[in-house]
Amino acid sequence: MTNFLLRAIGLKKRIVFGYVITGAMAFMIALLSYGAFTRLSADFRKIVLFSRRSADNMVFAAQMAEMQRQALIYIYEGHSSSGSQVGVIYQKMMQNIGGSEAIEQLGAKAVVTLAKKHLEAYYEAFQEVRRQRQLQARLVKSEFRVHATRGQQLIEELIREEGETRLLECTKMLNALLQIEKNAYRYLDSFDGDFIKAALFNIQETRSLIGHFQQNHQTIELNNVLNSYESSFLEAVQRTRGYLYLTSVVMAAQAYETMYQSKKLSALMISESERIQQQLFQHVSSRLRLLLFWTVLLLLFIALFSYLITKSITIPLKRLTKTFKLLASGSADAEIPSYPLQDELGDLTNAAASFKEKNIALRTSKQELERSNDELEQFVYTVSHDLKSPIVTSMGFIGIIRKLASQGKAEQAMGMLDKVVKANERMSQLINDLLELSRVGRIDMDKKLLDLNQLLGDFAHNQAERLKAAKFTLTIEQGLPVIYANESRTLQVFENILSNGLKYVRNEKEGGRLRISSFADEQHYHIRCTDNGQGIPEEYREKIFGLFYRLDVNIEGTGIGLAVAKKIMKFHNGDIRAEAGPNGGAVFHLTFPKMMDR
Amino acid sequence: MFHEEKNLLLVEDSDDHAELTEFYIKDCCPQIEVSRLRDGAEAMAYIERTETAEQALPWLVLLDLKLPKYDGHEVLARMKCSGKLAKIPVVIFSTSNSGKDIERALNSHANSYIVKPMEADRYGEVISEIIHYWELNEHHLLFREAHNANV
Amino acid sequence: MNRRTFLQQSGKLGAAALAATAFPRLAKATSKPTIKVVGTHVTLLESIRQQAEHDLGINIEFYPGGDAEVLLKASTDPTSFDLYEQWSNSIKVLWQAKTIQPIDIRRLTYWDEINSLSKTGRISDKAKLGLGDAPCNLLFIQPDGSFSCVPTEHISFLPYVHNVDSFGYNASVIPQGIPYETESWGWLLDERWHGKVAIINSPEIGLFDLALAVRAKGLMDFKNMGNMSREEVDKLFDILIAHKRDGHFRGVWTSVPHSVELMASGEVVLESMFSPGVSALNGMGIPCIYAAPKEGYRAWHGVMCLSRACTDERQEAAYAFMNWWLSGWPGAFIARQGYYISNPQRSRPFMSQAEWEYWYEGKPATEPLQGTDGKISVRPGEVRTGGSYIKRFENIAIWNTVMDTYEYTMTKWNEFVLA
Repeated sequence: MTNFLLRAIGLKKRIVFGYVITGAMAFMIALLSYGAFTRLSADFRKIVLFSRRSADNMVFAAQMAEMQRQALIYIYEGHSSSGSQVGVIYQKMMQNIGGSEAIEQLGAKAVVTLAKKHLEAYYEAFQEVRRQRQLQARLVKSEFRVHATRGQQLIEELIREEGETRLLECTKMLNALLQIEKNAYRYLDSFDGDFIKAALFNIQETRSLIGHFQQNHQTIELNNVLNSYESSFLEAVQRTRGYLYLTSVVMAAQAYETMYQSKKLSALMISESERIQQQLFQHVSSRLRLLLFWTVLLLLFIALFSYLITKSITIPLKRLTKTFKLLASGSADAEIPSYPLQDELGDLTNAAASFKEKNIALRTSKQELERSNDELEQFVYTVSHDLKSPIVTSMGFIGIIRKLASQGKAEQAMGMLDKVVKANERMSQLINDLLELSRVGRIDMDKKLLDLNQLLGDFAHNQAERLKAAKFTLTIEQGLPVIYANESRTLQVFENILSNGLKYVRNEKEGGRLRISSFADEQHYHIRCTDNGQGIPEEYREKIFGLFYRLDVNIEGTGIGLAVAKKIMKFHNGDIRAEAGPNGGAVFHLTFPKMMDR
Repeated sequence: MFHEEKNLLLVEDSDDHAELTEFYIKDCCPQIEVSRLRDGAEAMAYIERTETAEQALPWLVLLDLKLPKYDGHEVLARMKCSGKLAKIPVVIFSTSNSGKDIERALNSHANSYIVKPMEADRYGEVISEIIHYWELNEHHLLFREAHNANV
Repeated sequence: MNRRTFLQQSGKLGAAALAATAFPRLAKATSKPTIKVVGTHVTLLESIRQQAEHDLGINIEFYPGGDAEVLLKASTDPTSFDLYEQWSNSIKVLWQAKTIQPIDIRRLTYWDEINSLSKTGRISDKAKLGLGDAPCNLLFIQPDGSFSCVPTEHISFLPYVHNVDSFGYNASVIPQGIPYETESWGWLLDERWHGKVAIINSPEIGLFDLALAVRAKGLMDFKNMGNMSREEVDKLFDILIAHKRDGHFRGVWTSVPHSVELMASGEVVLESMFSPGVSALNGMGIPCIYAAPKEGYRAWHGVMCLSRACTDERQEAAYAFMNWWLSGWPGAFIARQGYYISNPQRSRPFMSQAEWEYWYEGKPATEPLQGTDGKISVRPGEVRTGGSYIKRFENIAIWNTVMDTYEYTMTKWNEFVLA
């Protein structure tokens, strides 16, 4: 995973990616929480609504009971205020029944419809009860009295007419008549059926007593009054029974059903609200679990991702730190950790690589410096030795001269002076050559394209006199290359080679000869200067390019010429080597690079 | 084979210096015979010859360091490895006063290290003192006895 | 005890057209008499009305209504009806209210065919008489204006439709009992069916169901269950109200559809029942069993009364309608909803052999039998609970009765219902 991150995703992207994913997960958690809480509040609202409604329904049941109580008061006591109270409660209940919103949600419309239906039936029955009650009241309150009063009047008239003779019977009749009313009221008070029988018996008794009298207008009217009385009473009884039945049976049942449905509704609401609560708790706990799960997952993810990101940063950083420490200590061998991406760490890796290159360059230049120091030391040593040598010579001979002079051997002494001069001349020559050597690479080193054919042609021409004097043949082959070099220095190299040839090549048979030829390979032009001398033993082929090194001290020369040639060739990024020639002679092999340093 | 007269071996490439040295040796001790070798290669050949006993051993060797072909250090090292020449005193006589040269020479068991003088008149004095000093040395007796025993 | 809704859906108008010519048409050339019949939904069915009009050539108006409503109407206003059709328990009230007149036996064509149940109270010699107002005790009008079973020339009502009632129970919940042996009114108060029992909302019917139950459970006994004293009523209601408060009863039902709905919804597993309710539940696939209690049935008898105000032409038409009722077709018609007629033999030709055997003889149905609505109400192999007509009426515990304590029981009933 870390490796994948390291290989595929840049540092910035890695960090941004981490934040984005973390943010997305946090957002998701927030969304989940939002959903959970929205649901929670909706459920909570439902519960509140249901509990309020179920409370309403309890009130409803209480109202129903109160209504029936008022209805009974009305029936038994006849208080019309109770009657109207029933109507008021009924209106209130019809308004409050159910609670549409809660009902819709419960899908309990049927229950409400039932409750309403029963309530309506109840009230309808009550209306009928009122009617019957009023009819009964009319019968009882006015007709009973009218009949009873009229009956009493008629009996009293009968007493007046019949006189004292039938007083007993008349009184009996009057008593029976009055008894009718009494028993009727008893019945209406107690609803005891025995009093109906009693009242009817009184009517019958009154009737039979009337039958004892002669038929006259009073007795006829009295019979009629009794008949009306009886029918009023019977009607009152039926009406009483009617409204009793309506109240006790019909209304009671409707009231009970109404309350039952209302209670059922309450129970439904309570159970629904309990169900919702249960659901709510389950929902809440499941959501909480889900949230917890996601949160833990997020934390784990953050931890993992932080770990990975940190790793992906620290691993290369640690490697780089180690590398930089090595590099800072000057190491040129410190390993640069591989890092394929071009991000900040990539830049740092590149910086380390540059650092390493610098260190390598530094080490190279240091080695170069050390080498040149050595060279310088060698140079100084050699120079001091070779410069001292003529001084030693001249001082030595001056000593001899003085000695000879003191002995008076003037002629001998004079002969020695030449030695001193020669030594000083040599010293002068040395100094000039050293100066020349020091100029190589410093002064007059401009390069240009040089046609060696032309350059060496001119050279041969210029040297013709000298060669002729030394009986030395210089052959320059055709097809020499055109090189990019410093003209005078290049010429100097050939001069020095020629000078050496003139000094060292001794070939009695053929005479000294130097042939300059060339060939080329892929990268270099090769110039070969082949002489026909004794050749150079292999062990001296390196040494001859050293400063002041001379193969033969008795041959004139300072031992600087080949050193100068070497230096010039190095300056041209080329080289000069001594090799064995084909016929025992020496070959000075020059190489010039083809890739010209412009 | 051993001669009574003292034979000095001079290894010196410079003709001028050789002439000076021979001159002053003749000047102070005319009885000393000087043999000269011109470069390292000649010196090596001389050493080889002494090994085969064809060559008489010198009494003293004056060895220059700056020599063509083989330098003085190489010659010295070879000499001190040689069975016979190893005991012959070798005086390094060079223009170099470099510590490196001195150390290397002494490490190679050079018996003495003398720098060629650059003052006028001094050259003769130095040669004279070298000769006189080594004349005090009786090492040549060792070679005589050995020679006699051989005979 | 409103039997209307279920029974209203009567059908099969043409089914009994064969009876058409059996009657002399009363209609004179010009005017048709019109009679008003007030009563219950059990018998005041449109198909019956149309059949009667067709058979008799008169105009008939039916005024079906709730029991209390029609009784009040009839007992307070004799001009509001010519004929009144209800239960035997209303007779005392009407007679007392003097809104009906005696019926002359001599004008009843089929009087002699009316069986002994209506005339003597016993369908067979070994039959129990049954407590309460057996119809015969209300039938014959004595010279002093009272009723008794001593035959006279005049009767207070025409005996026609009757049946026995008991309770129905859901056999998928309650283990099926053995008729007349284990099935008992006591089940109404069985603790196991707590909260799932309903009673018909009527003090003169439901009260007896409950009284039978209380006695079966041994909670109390009555000197005469058919005419309880106030003290007995008090004691009975103390027991019942205690049960009600305890939540033993689901409630009371006020109509046959209501009773069906209660059991169909599962709110009730055991309740007072009418025969059509049981049929309806069976039609719905609910295994409602109409119990044959070992204590005996609660029986009821339909009555047809003649208004005191019914005279002349309308009286003639009314007698014709009464005679038509016993002429066969109506008896067969109501047999299909489980009711019996007082002269069954007259109805037999109007029924198939299978119908007769199932409804009257208590034998298994040999073919699918249709109800009055034309739907299959009895599947082959089914047997009517309680057995044959005779067997059922031999086992009468009590007749629906209006007791002397009627008013008092009503006030108590109110307490019971609302407890």
